[in-house]
Amino acid sequence: MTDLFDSADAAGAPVGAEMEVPGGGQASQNGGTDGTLPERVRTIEEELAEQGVYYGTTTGDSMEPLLHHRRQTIVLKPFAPGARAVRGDVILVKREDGHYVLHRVVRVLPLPEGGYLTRGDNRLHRDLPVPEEQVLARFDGYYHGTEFVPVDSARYRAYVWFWVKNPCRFAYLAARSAVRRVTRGKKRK
Amino acid sequence: MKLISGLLIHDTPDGTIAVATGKASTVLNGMIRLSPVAAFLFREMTEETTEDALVASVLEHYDGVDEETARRDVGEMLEKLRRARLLEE
Repeated sequence: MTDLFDSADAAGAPVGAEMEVPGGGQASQNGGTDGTLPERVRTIEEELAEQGVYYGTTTGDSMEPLLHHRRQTIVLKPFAPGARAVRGDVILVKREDGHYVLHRVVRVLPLPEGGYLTRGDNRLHRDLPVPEEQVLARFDGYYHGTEFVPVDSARYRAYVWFWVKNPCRFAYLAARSAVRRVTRGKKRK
Repeated sequence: MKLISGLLIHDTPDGTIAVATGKASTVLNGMIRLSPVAAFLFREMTEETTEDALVASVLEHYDGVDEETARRDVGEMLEKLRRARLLEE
């Protein structure tokens, strides 16, 4: 029997709108752990390049109700060489400050400059424009319990249809934002 | 002892992995790729267990393994999990 951990690797960091990536995304540099479990530690980028897939979780609420803080396992895959994201894709972006963000493409900017406009499913406003070179991977699906839900599944398409493409979503988010502003204002007084 | 809550084990086309969610994600950012034996032991540790019970499980499920080797390997893995704060005791 060989070493039980001869292929145990840890990589990456949680992704999300408010993701924390201590240590530049190295799994071993997290919080208080000395990270001695993994035999080899890789970043998200290295894992995607070497394995062609990354499994992780997300933090924050910007992609609710699809993805919840530290709850689901997400699956990310790199784009094929030369391929671009399309409107509706959920993409992983690494910002200049090192933060990873997983949001949905709402507009594809034309070449040669390229880039994308993105927004979280639970957000009213778009993010700052994303240059092509900051895009690391596309969202391929997630695990609901032990069941894998790919982006081409009926379940995921139903979510997109009923929430993402629903024009009432913006009215709801705007109303929620207004209520929260009023509530915060009352608390300060 | 058992694995920290939130460490989800998935059988994927790319092998068996453990992904840190929930409480586990506060101590481990990311995923662990598991060897078949590690995957077996991780699953055993999703419920409360002991080191002796894990060694016994390995001996029962794997041929050609002597107790000394099983005990050494299980012990090493548990120590790694403890240092990474992925074990609840």
